[in-house]
Amino acid sequence: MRSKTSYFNPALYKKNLTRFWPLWGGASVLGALAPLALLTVMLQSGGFGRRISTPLEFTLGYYSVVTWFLPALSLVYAALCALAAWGWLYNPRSAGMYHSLPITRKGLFATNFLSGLSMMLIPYAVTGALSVLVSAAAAGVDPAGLLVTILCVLGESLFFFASATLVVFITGNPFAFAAFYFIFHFLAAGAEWLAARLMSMFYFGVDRAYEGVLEFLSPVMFLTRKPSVDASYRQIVTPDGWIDNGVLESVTLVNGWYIAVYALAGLALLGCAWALYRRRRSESAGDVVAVGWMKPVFRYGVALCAAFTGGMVLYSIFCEGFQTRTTAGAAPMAACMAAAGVLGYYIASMLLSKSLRVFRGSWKGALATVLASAALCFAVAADPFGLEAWVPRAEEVQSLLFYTSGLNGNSLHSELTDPAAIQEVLEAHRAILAERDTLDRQRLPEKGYRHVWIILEYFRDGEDESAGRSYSIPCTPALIEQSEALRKLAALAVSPAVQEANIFSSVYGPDQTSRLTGGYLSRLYNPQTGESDSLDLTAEQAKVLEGAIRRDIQAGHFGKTMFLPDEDYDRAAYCGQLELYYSLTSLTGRWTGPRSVSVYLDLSVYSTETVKALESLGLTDETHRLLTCAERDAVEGRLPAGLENPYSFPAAGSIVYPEAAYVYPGESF
Amino acid sequence: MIQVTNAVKRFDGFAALDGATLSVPAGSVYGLVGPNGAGKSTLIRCLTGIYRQDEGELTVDGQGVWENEALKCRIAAIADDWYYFPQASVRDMCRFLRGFYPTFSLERYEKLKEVFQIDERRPLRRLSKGMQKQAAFWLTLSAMPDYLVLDEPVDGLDPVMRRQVWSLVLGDVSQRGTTVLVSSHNLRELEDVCDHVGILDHGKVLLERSLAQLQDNMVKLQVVFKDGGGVPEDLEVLHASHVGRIHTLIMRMGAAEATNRLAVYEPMLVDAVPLTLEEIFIYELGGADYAVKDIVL
Repeated sequence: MRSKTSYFNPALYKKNLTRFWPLWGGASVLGALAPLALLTVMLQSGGFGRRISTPLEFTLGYYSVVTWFLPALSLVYAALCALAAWGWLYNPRSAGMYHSLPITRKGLFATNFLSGLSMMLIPYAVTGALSVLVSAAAAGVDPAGLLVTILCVLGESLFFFASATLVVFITGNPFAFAAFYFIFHFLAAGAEWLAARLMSMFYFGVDRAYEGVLEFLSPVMFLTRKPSVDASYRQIVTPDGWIDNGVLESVTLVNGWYIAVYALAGLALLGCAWALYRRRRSESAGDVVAVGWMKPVFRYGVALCAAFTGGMVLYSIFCEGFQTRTTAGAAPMAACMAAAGVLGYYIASMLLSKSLRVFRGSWKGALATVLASAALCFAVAADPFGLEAWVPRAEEVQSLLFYTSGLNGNSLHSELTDPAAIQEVLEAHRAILAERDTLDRQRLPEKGYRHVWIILEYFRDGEDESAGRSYSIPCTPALIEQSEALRKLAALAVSPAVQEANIFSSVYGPDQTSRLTGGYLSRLYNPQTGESDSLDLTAEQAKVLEGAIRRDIQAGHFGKTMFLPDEDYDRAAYCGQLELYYSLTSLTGRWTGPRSVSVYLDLSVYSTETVKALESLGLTDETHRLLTCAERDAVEGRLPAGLENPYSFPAAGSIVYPEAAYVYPGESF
Repeated sequence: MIQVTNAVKRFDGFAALDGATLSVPAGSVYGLVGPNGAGKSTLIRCLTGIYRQDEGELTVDGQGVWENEALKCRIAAIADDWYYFPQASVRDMCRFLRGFYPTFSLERYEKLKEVFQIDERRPLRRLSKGMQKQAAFWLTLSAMPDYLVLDEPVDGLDPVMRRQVWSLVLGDVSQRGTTVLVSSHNLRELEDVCDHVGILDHGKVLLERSLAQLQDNMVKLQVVFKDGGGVPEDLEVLHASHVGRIHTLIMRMGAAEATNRLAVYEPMLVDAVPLTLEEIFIYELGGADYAVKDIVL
């Protein structure tokens, strides 16, 4: 008597689509707005062919949507479609009706899944079809690009809808579904962030919030970051030698295969969803967690997350103010984590039992949560992997990024590849760690202490692998005298390799050509009028100044003001700023056409070569003077009270040069 | 024939069905009665494939119901909380159900339209509870099922419509041999329509009989003894009461046998009167310990 089983019921499929037409209809209308808007813009801008003139440019647009927009859109829309297709499971009445119908669960599963997937794909199909029409009318169609785009949309839709379907069968009500679904998609990234935050609270210098090690488990983030568009342009050289807007030659979706992998993962999730549905009890409708064995996972998972997040929040509120170091204390953090963990444990228990009466007999679970939270906290604080003391070996570092803030608002930002310079940075890093106990201090009793930030980012295998440290260390005149680490940092600040990278790395590189086009010199003081003036520089003048700057860099003149105390800094640093203009052209197609870039230089009395060059070019003279900050303050009447005489300027030709003006720490006349 | 053998269904450790066993003969109207929480709805949900029993067997025509699509095509049910799509009208639900029940008859649907007189285009959510129930009967009877499973079916129907609905159901029983399993917490409701009755309490079937069996096994007699005497002590009666000289006796035997037994006392009057279903159950189950009072009140 048992006859063949149907895996698809047309009546149910049709009913699903007709019931929820506002969902996919509304999404289709919204999606259709994009190609229609593009069409309108193209018509307004003087007909087709003005803005997007080739099929490849449409493909570039499709790929950009796939990489930037599609994952987040699919994430949200899949949740809505899953609720439409499977929402009946959350209501005991509707679940009863569906399951009493003459159709097997296999048939219900397949039909509802196809209904939901159809609801997902219809708006994409409508939008895609209109886009193809606009593309065909404007420039033609690139079949390969279109096919890749369709496959990407299908793959992501399948994955996100399958993941939503799985969450449907784990949960028993729509609120739990929404919470679980979004947690499911961000759990790995969130957990990594929490762990990194906890480590950064414990470990001196480890201040990385998120590195994305587990990002592949947070697909929407992974799919937004990993696949990318690679466009190559053929460049056109104009008769006057300029490289003009290029012609798009090829567009490639880089790492598009990840989408295929996720689509396959979607099939696996679908299999899990089916396995859960087979075991799912209809009476679980309304529960937070519909799968029995997942209830303890949920309970202790919530407790763990609460221990991490709540523990750190409680610590910040109640304990951080009592810290004597920049790093957190393990015992108070353990107490906070245990308290927050217990809170999470009971909240999860209340959600599971849909009752507030969960305390009786629950002490064992609560105790387990306390012990686990505290053990976890102490385990992290013990730094079992030696993250705090880690310094890479020189041979492991291909390049590094060195950033340090100065004491006076100035900073250095250098990307270094020179092995000698890398070695210097590593030694400074080791020196900082060697003086950890001195430098890891929250407050200093000394007057006028400040913190400087040192950020080190080490790269291996290009930029694929990186690890970084970030130190906030106190900097006082006394410490500068005593601290080997600070002395090494000061030496790094004047290092030619570091300064060369700091000043010129943005304009000179293997992937671009640079042309110096001019410059600008600002805040030159005219004692006769009492006003400031600025000067435009010609390309020739800029060229001369660039040479002088390089001589200053080689002589170690730049960077000497980084760690000067306020008064010394004011006497050494010029207010005037030199700006050099460059025109850059990409050799790899990263951008088209020339791009203007400015390089700013803070001059000081130490940059003697540059100051001399300015004089020799006639850019500074009696009526165009560079003033130090102290001189500027004097001119503007900001002398400290009690000083009656205004600042007297040195006569022309007797500009005070650095050797006579200031002795840099560690130097002598 | 519906056969339930030692069915057990637990919810978080609580056994809603605790070894229930019953048998619904083909073509019969079986009344499943029991107080609230007895397990009637759970049993019905198991029989319609909504729940899967933890233990025991539930078969219809010898086949398990669970995931048996072909068999479920022959079973139609009206749940106590009948579900319809929020925006749907009777006509929409008709179209939907036609896609599932191969036997769904549009001809019947059209005929029943005259009986129920509900605007088939009106959204069901705008109908009163009673009219929604009528719509449920309209659609379910149009599916022409071999087995009709009804959970508290006439709640919310007015007396006229109750009669009408039962008339339709019994018409199907007599003309098409439909087997009906109907649950109710009210014996009086089922008295006029059932030919078999089972009592379910705490997940167990305490008793099931055909109405004929029950009536053959128990008799209610009104007797007047000579000289105004009382009930003889050697006479086995389940229950005795009297108003003046008229004694009312309930005896566990047929009417003829009871009359013969009484003949030796030369009564002045012996008259057999019909027993209500309520009385049969009260006396059959002894009245005490069981939830019969909950069923009849």
